[in-house]
Amino acid sequence: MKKLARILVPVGGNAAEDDAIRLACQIAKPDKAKVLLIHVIEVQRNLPVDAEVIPAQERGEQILGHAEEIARAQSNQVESELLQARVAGSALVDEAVERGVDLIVMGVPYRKPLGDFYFGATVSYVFKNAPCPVWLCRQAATDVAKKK
Amino acid sequence: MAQSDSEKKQDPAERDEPEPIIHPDLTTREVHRGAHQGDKYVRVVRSDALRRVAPGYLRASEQISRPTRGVGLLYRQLKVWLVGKPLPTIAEKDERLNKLRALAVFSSDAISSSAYATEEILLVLVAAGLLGLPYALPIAFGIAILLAIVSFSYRQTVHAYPHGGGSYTVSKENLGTQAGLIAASALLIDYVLTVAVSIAAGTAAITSAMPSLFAYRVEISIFFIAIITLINLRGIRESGTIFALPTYLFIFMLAGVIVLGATRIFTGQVVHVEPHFEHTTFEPITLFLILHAFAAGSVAMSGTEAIANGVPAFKEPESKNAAATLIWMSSILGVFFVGVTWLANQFGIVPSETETVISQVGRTVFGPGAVYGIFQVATMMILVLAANTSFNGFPRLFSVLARDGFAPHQFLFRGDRLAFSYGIIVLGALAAVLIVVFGGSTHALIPLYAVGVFLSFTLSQSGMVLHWWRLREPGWQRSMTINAAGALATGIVLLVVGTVKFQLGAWMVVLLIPILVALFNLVHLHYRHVADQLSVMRLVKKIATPRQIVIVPIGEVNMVTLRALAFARSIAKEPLAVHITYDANDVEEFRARWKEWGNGTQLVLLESPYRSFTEPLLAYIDALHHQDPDAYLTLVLPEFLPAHWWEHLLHNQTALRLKASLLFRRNTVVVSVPYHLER
Repeated sequence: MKKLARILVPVGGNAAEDDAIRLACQIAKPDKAKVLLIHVIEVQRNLPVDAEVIPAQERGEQILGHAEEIARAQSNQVESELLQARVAGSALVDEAVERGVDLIVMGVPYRKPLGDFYFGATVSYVFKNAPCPVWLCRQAATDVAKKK
Repeated sequence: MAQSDSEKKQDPAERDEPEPIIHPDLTTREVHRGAHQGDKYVRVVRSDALRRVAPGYLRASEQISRPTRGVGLLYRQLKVWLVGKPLPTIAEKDERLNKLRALAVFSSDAISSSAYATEEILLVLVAAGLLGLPYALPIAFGIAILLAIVSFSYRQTVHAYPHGGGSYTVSKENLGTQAGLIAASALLIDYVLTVAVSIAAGTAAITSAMPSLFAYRVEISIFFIAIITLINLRGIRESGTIFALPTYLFIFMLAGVIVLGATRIFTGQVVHVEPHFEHTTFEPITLFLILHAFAAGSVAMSGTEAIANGVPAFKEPESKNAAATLIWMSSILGVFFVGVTWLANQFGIVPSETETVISQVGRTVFGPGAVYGIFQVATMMILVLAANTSFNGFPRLFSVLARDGFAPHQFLFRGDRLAFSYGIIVLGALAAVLIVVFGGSTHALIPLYAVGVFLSFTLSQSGMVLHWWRLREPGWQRSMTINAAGALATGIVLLVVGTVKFQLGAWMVVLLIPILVALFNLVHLHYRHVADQLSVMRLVKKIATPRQIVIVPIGEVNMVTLRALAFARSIAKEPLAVHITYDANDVEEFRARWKEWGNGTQLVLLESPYRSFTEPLLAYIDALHHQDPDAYLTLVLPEFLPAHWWEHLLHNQTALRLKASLLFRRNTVVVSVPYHLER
C-alpha cells in the first residue's frame, strides 16, 4: 500500500464510529497521515442545500467534537469538516476526490432491520463509488446484544 | 512627492477592493460541484480555534492556547510536562474524588497525627515519672471521645451544607460575617502551619537517618514543598492517586503494628517493661499537668475539618460520600491513636531524644529488620503528605472567601487542571517562608499549632447549634445536642490549649487572626466600592453617545502617519493633527507637505525649543480637554513595527512613552494604529 497522506473517517454519531476513528488513527500514525473527520448534514429537499439548519449543525459540531477528542487522544493530526448535501454518500465521495484522500475508514453499525444485515445507503454508496480504498469497521454483534 | 507603485502595493488599505463581508460567527459556506451533473454540496467552513455552538455563541477549543512556535511553544510544553494537559471546565465532574481517593487526600493530615500525638502526651507526662505515664491512655481516650463528638458534629455539617460547609461558611451564616472571618483566618493560619510542620517533620526523619544532610534541612524542606505544590497543580484527582499509595501503606502498616502488638501482649509474648528515666526528680500529678498533656495530644485533631470544607470535591452524592469518608477517617485516627498509646504504655515506652515513640512501638512489634524499615518509611511519607490535606483545604477556603469578596478574586481562578492554582502557589510560598524563618525546626512551629483548629471548631459547632435552633427540622433537638456538646468540648480545649501554649508562641496566632480579619474586611470594602460604582442601577437615564476630541500626533508625513490619519477620519469627522517641531525654520516646509498629503485635516504646530516631545503634547492635550472635560479624548497613535524584534532597539519608542503617560488619564482613549514593516 502506498504511503498515506490523508485518511477520511465519516462520522454520523453511530456507536461503531469510535472504533473506526481509533483504527484510522493507528493506520495514520506510521505515515504521519492526517485524519480527516467529516460529518454530512443531509438537507431536506424543501430547503436550499446551503440553508442554515441550526439544530443539525449543532448536532454535527457535537459529533465532530467527540470524534476529534478520540482522535486527539491518539495524538494524531486531525482536521474536521462539516458538509451539507442532499445525500451524504455522494458528498463524502466528492470531498474525498477534492481532498485527494488516500483511504476511507467507515464505522458500520451492526443492524438487522429486516432480519438481514444492512449496510445503509451511505456506506453502500461510498463503498461502490469511492476512488480510494475503503475499509469498513463493523461493530461487534455482541456489543449490540449487550446494549439490548 | 508622489507615492511609488511599490508603496501602493504594500498597503492593502489603499487598494480599490470591495469590502469583505464580516461573519461574526466565523462560519461561511462554500458551494462545490459534485461529480454528477447538477449535483452540489456545501462545505461549512469553520474556525478551528473557535467552534460555533449556536448562532452568536462560539466556544474556544484547546488549540487556541496552544502556541505553535517560539518561546510560547517551549513554555507550553514545559507547563504540560510539569502540570499536565489542560482540562476543560466540563471535566470538573471527572476530577472529583471517590471515597478511597478522598480518604487519602483529605485524611493524610489527621491520620498522620497518630504518628506523633502519643509522643506529645508522653512528653508532658514524663515529667511526673512512672506515676504520670498511666494517665496517657485515659487522656488518649478523652481526645478520642472529643474526636468522635467533633466528627459527628461535622457529619451533620456536611449534610446541612452540601456545597462545602467549612467552619467559615457555617460561622458566617449563623454567627455573622466577622465570626466567619475569624474562623477562616484561624483555619488559614493552621493550614500554612500544617504544611510547614509536616514538611519539617518529614525532613527531620530524613536528616535523622542521614545526619550529613542536616545542614541542608531548609533546602530539602523547600524542595518537598515545591514537589507537593507541583503535584497539586496537576489537579486533585491526580494528586489523590499519587498520594493514595503512601497513605494506605501507612494505614496498613500501623494497623499491622496494633494487631500484631495486641496479639503479642495477649499471648504473653511481650513482657511489660518498667520504663527507665534519666532524671530522678519528678513533678507531682496536678490538674494542670493533665490538662497540659490533653492540650498537647489534641494536635491529633487537626485536619478533622478538611472533609467538611471539601464536600464539592466528592463524587455524587457528595454529602453522603463525604460523611462516610469522615466517619472512616475519624474511626481510623481514633483506633490508631488509642492503639499506639496503649501499646506504648504496655511496652513501657518513654519519649527519647534519639527515637520517636512510634518508631519504638514499631521496633518492639516488628523487631529490627526490613518490615520495621518499611514502617519507618511509611511514617516519614505520611508525615510529609499531611501537608497535602492543607493543599486541598487552603485554596478551597480562599476561593470561597474570594467568591464572597473577602479575598482577591484571583483566588477563584482555576488553572489548566481545574485546581485553584493561586491558592496552591500562595500556600506553598507561605509555608516556604515559614520554613526559612524558623530554620526548618518543628519544635519552634508546633506551639503555634492547634489554637486555630480549636477556635474554628468552636465557632463552627456554635454556628451549627444556632442553625438547628433556627430551622427546627424534625430531630433538631438531637442534632443540636450533638453540636452543643461539640462546641462546649472544643471551647474548653481551646481555653486549655490557648492558656498552655500562649507563651510558647500561640500569642502570634492570637495576634495574626485580627490582622487577617481586618485585611479581609478591607478587601471586601474595596470590592463593595467597585461594585457600587460599576452597578448599572446607578443609571438614571441611558448613557448618551459621548463627544470625541480626536488627536493624531504627526512626527513626519509618511505611510504610518497617513494610515493613522485615515483611521482617525473613520472614527471622527474632524480629527486634529498635531506636529511638534524642534526648529521654527522647518515649519513652512512641513506645512507645505501637509497641504499635499493631509487630506484637509486641520494641523496644529507645537514648537518645542527645549526639544522635548511628550511634555508639550501632554500640555496641549490637557488644555484642549479642559475646554470640554466630559468629552472623550482619543489619541490615535501612528506606530510602525519593525520586521525583527531587535530592530526595536534602533528606534525611539515615542508611542510607547506616550501610551504610558496617558494610561491613567481620565476620559482618555489611546488607539495604536500599527504599520508592520516587512523588511
